[in-house]
Amino acid sequence: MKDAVKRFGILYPIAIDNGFTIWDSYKTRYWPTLLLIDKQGVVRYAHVGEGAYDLTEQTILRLLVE
Amino acid sequence: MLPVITKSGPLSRDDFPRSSSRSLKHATPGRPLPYGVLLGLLCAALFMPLTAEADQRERLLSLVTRMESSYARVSDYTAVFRKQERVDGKLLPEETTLLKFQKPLKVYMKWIEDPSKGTEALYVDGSNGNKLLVHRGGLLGILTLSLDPRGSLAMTRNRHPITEVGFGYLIDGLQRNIRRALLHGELEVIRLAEETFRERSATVVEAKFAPRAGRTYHASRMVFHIDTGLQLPVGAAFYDETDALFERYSYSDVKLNAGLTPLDFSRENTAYRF
Repeated sequence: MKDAVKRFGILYPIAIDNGFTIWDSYKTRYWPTLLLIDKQGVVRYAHVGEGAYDLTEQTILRLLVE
Repeated sequence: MLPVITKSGPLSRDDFPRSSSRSLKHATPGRPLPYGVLLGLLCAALFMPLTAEADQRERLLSLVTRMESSYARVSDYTAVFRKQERVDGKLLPEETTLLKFQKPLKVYMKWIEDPSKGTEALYVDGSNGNKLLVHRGGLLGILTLSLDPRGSLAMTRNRHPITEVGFGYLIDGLQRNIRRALLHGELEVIRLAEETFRERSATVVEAKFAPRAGRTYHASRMVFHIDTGLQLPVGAAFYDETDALFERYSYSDVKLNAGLTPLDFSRENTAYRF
């Protein structure tokens, strides 16, 4: 993981979920599953599978200005 | 039966009488054939290849039409589907899968031989968010992937997305290439014969494309087998301009109109691991 973080220049925090704790908590069934959680800790957006990148981007920008 | 020219040695001008009115029935053994007969023979020799070529062309078009009408009568099928493709310049090992297909576009595949044994893939047009569900076999099979069927992950080690698997896409590709090449006189049929393919009677077609005027075809050379009983293309191999194989597909144990149900294409099927 450290090698990959370095290789891709990732600067944001990454959670390691080897025990599937987060996966199970959110009842995740498929990879990738994308959840956007707002400042209050509420899940505001969920997308299962690849794609919908534009919609995801727009939602992030909207949530950031709230 | 063709008449026999009895003169030994090369023919000279003297061998051709001025009168060409004598017919074949007047030719007698030991006498040179009349000019008209020889002219006829020459014409026959010249036009015979053209006729044979036209016959082959008609036969090929008829095979294509029969494949299309056979497939039109199919609603679903199961088969053992094998594929071998060249990806990023490397010819990958052959993969063997159990394929379930239902029109218009429901596909379930299970890899039944190593190295991907146990992997499953499901794509149902209009369902599952139009995503390809993949569950890897072995130790990697912890997660089910939900992928864009044409995305980079799904296309790793594949020349075609799962949406292009099956007889329908293959027949469509063959007919488009063949009809267009015949229209422009850019197809040379090298072999059109009956032979055994995977222990079943089949018609083999081997043909070369010779594109001009900027036209392109799927391959430079192709060899495909049409099962005699099914009238469907159960084998196809495509070669590039260096005559290197880049795609090979085959279908065996084909069961047409197998009566597949929605459960065969459901991620909730308990026999599957999605």
